[in-house]
Amino acid sequence: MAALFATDPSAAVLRVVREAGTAVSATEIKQALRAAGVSAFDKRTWNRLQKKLRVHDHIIVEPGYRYMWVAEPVVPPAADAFEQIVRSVGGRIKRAHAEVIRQALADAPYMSEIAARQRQAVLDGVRALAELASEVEELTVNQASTRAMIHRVRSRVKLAGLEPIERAGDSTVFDRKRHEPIGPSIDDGAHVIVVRPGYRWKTPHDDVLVSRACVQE
Amino acid sequence: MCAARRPTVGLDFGTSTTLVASTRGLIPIGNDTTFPWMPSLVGYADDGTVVAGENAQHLPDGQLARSIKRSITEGRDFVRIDVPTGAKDIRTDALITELLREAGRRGARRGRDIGVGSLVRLGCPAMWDGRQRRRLLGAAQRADLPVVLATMIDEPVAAGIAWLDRQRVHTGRPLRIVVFDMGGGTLDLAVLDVRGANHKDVSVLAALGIAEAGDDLDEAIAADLDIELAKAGIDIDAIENQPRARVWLRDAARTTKELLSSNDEEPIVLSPQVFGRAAEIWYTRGQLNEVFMPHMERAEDAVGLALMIARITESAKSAYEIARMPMDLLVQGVDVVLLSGGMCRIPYVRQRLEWLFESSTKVELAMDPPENAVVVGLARAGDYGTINMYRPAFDVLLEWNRGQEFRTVYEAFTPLVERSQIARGEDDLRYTRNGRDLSLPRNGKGKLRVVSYSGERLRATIGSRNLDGFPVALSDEKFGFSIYPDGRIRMTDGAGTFEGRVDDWHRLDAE
Repeated sequence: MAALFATDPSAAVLRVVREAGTAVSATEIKQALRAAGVSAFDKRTWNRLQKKLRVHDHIIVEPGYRYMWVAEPVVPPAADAFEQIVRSVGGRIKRAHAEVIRQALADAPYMSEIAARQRQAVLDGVRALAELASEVEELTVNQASTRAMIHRVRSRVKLAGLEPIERAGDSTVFDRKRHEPIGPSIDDGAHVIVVRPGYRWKTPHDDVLVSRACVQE
Repeated sequence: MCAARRPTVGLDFGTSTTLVASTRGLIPIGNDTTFPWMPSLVGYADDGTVVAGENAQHLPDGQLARSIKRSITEGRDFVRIDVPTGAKDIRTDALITELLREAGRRGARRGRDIGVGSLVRLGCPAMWDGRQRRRLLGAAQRADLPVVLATMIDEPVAAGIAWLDRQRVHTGRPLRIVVFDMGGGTLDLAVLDVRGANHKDVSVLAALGIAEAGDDLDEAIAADLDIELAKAGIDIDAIENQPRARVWLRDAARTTKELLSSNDEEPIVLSPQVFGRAAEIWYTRGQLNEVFMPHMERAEDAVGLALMIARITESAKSAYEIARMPMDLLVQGVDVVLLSGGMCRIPYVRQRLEWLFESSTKVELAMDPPENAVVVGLARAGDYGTINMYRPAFDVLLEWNRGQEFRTVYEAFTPLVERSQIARGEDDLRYTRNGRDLSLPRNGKGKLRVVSYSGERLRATIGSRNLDGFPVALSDEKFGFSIYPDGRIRMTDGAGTFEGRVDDWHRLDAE
């Protein structure tokens, strides 16, 4: 032990704690070192050793500053570990930087949830599309009238918040905000025929132009 | 870890679907499907294993238990199911356990561990009494869900919380809310009184439910379509494969009902393979409303009854007077009517309620989509204090012989007022038990004991002392114990009559 202390005093202290098999105080560690033949050392040396002991992965500090060896390193929750680091570096960290990390750590447990919700949003869209496709096929096989077919298509997309712009086959006056010419540009106010309708997506919070109605002069 | 810091999960075990949410919103738990929920289906596969959710959808009808939640509402303990050894009566609670366990597993897979480290708030119909709540609680605990009676929340209360949580401006004055929660299986109603800083104290003045909702409407629409087809010259009874045609019609009824939520008319294009010829009939929202009318009339009667119970809880008027109050007086003072549950997508529901209530009363969705309101409210309920003044969350026990013998004087979640008492116009409305009901000894000494399920100790006094521990002079002849809807308590024993009250219940006339 004395030889080990001479070459690596921290390792000697750790061996004392590990071999104690229970939590030991600073006084008990010093007594054990002395009993093993380690010559007296000054307070400064001990303070240095004690600092290393406290942050060792296999050491936990119990109430009353008693040190105990644990076989598996104690891994605190990420947020607690970060707060320990913040405390140990004192004022040498920007508050804004610390806050960014705190927020990221707070969000971390929710990442799987967020991913599941994002997937669900895609699935909601895919389902609406699939329902529309299957309904069109069914109506076609059942010999639905054109009126019924168009009505049902518009009903389905309306459930998803889509509002049609114009109706295929109708005549109207060109409006560049609502219409997209097929081919060469068309002047505002010109008479046009709607080739296919456009759509807006409307919710209480959003009004998005998904596609303009395609028109031809 | 203290309860307040444990991650909270809401679990809405519905008649048709089961949903899970965290405080941040709905957690999609659908498997091999595009829906965010799990169907509330459970059954036995061919190899004898129990399957829940989507996997049960493909089982033959005999191997499947549908709407298993209703077994608790209807007090059924067993359901007959085909298992590999033949038809067998299976304990419904065991099937519910499997269903809840599956929901918990799926929540965990999507990042929200529903285990010991979390706190699950489980919804239940407001109409359930203590025994029904304990049945669900037992099933949930056997599914290893960390839930206690204190974390079981009435579904309409949860829907109210989902709405309150989104309110940015709080006027500070009390709010009177009616929650109209119409799902596939039941209509749940609650009258809430919301007070306190930021409207965080929610009191349930009345809560009741009727076992009638969306599924019944689908049947009624299908029956109406049958008549429409007859008008178009198609007699379903004469069709070769009549059962197939009726299944087709019921499916068309459900689709048409959904699509008429945003349109005035919808085509129903018949399948020539099923009906023998091609045909098209147009079904209007007016026709739907007409079919829906009797359902909504019964729903409005239930709203009226809930408002009467709320009045009895808060008012000095006699029950006789309240039972005879016209609807236009009953609906006065309601600030908001909140719509929850899938059926509230039907515009007629909102329209009827707008007609029923005063023009100053707002009628709006508890949240959009309304099917998510209960589960999201459950997850957020930890920020709110809820007191159920209609079905109080505490037992009152009378014990004697050093606690070796006892009787339950009041069992938690028993309604203080029965519907029949209101219908009869009884004047002295209260919950009451006497010495003979309880088979008390003729004499001796006992003590009252209070067991609270709200998560906090109940503050209640009698004869200027704590209700809990109050000494009782036993008497089978003289003993009587009453709780009034306004929180007053009265007990008569061999020594005299003592008055008291539940201090936790706010005095509704105090603000």
